[in-house]
Amino acid sequence: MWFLTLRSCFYSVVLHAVVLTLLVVNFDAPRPPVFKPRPPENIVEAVKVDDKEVEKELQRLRDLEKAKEQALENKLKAIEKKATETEKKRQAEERRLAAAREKAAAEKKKREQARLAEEKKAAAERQRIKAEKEQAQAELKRIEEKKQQAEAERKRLEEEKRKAEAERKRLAEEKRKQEEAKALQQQLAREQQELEQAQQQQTLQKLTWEISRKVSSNFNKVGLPPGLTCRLAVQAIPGGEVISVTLSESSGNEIFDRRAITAVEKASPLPLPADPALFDRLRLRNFIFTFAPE
Amino acid sequence: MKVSDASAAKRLARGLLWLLLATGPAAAQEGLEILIDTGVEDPLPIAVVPFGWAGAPGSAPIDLHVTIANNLERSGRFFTIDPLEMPQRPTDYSEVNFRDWQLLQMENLVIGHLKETASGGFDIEFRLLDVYKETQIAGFRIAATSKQLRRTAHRISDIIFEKLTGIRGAFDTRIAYVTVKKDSAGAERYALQIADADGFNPQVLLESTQPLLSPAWSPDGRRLAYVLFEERRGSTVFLQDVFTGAREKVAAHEGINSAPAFSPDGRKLAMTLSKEGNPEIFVLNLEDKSLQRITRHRAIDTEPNWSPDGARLVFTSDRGGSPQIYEADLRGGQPRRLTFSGSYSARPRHAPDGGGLALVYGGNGGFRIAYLDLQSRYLSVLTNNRLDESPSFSPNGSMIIYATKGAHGSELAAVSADGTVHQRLALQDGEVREPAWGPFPKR
Repeated sequence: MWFLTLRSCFYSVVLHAVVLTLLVVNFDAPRPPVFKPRPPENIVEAVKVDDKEVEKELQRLRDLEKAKEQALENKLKAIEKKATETEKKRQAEERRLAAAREKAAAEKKKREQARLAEEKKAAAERQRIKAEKEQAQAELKRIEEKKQQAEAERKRLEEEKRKAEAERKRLAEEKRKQEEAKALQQQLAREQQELEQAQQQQTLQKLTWEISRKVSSNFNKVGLPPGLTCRLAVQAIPGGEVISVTLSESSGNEIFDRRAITAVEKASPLPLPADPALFDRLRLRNFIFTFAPE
Repeated sequence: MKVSDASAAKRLARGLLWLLLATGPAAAQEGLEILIDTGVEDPLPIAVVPFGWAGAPGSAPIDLHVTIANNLERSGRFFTIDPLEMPQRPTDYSEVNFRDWQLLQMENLVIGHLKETASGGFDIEFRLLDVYKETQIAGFRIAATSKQLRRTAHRISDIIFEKLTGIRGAFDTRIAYVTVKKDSAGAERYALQIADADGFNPQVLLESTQPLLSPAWSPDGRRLAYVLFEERRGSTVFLQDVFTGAREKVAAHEGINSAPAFSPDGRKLAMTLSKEGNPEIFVLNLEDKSLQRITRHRAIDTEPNWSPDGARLVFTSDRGGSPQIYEADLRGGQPRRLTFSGSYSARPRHAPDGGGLALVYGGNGGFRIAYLDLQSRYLSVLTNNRLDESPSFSPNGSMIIYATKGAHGSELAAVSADGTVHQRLALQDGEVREPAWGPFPKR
């Protein structure tokens, strides 16, 4: 702001100086004669005028002229003085202006220098920023490249993983198939075994029933109190002959136990297969008889 | 209801156990497990081999094996074989060939010796053998006089019976009964007699030209109560000592004095008296001779019999229009009727276990011996004769002796308590009436 004010001050001063200069030049240059021919009009008008009057008028005109001349003289003197003053002032002003101009020039130069310095600095800064930017871009590019590399690596790894997974799956599938085959085989074996067991079970059930029937028909429960139970361990040989009967759990009633033993003994030979192999396979060597008549 | 539930549960548990054992791994280890949940009810086969005789040349004074075999057969629990069918006749254990007897399916074998001792007595040695286990079940040596030989045979029978059935034998017991004979003049002669349970060894305790009735044993077997008609007096109740013959008049009231029955403790005698006009049941205290009247009814109440616990009396009464069995509590209260089927039920006798009554049941034009189950109230007719009377339980409850009309008048018969075995004991000349089976001898 002060700068603008200063500048306007400066301009106004310059303008005044110019105007004054022009004024001075105008007055100086022609340097007109102190008396100027009277204007023609006055002459024309003088036709009616008497001589006294004309004298008087002439006197008055002469006085007037003389006053005018005096005033003009004064004025000239004033102007001269003023011009001198103005010249002095102008010169002072000129000097001041020169100084100011000088100062301004110096100032300007200084400013220019500063501006240049500033510009230089800015250029340097711009350069630096540019360099930095370039560096950043280079870095960015590098990072990008790295990223791409990483991505590629990732993809590669993924691919590898996928392949490994596929391999694993293939192996698992293979294993599963093997196991299935094995299970099927086992299932078949089991079914075969179950079939055999079922057949065996059936045979055993039939034997059990037949033995039970034969022993029951020899078990005389006449006169025995109800609710008694005893267990006998019985050994038989192929063909069914009973070779031993042991009381493994007494009913607590001697007669009941004895009747049970007699029943098994009387039922000998038990209806059992004579083939020793079958006999052993069906585990028919040992029996447990539970006597629990209802 | 509870009982049947429990037994069903037990059955189920047993079934499950069987299933488990039959199918589980234990089965593989121990072999098949077989459940025997039924059986047969047949007489037990037993062979009583003729006893060896060591004594004076000639035959033994008694065929022990015959007496024993007859006893066992008569019980209905056994069947015996004739010595002629025997594969061998061992008298010593070492001679026994068990295989032979097994082939005959004889489960038990009785062998023994009868030996005369230097003092004129006898030694009896016998063994009861298990043919299939090939072992001895029992063996005894018993000393006896010649008079005791038959009784010894009964004792041996009792031992065998108990060893093989678990029930105390009642062969060594006696029965009392009344015989009626006509003398040369055609007059009836009555006798009170005692014999072995098989009818042998009869002894006369009392003879009379007047009717003799209703012999009843005291629980200790020492005394008999009976009714004797006395001339000009009518019926009188006597007690008589079996061993000394001493007798005592215990009821000679106006009118009827009849149907004596000992209380289980032997201290009281229930009987029928009509001293107050109408036949009623009374209980006579034998110690202080006091009388307690039990029934009060204008109908006829008679034939009292004690429950084994001594708390109640059953009797015959026609208060319902026909003779039926009633029960009176000795503490009082209204008698309650026990029989409802048929138009005639009379002469009740408690089974020794208190579970039922033997009685005379009339229907379909005859009188038969029947058994009334006191719990189920089910009445089963045991005999199939025309005119049966006076049932009496053996002390072990397995037999009922009674009188029935035979070819020569009234005779003794016996039926097993389940009605399966029938016997006639036609031992006496003339008629035999009102048998009363005596108690067990003291052990």
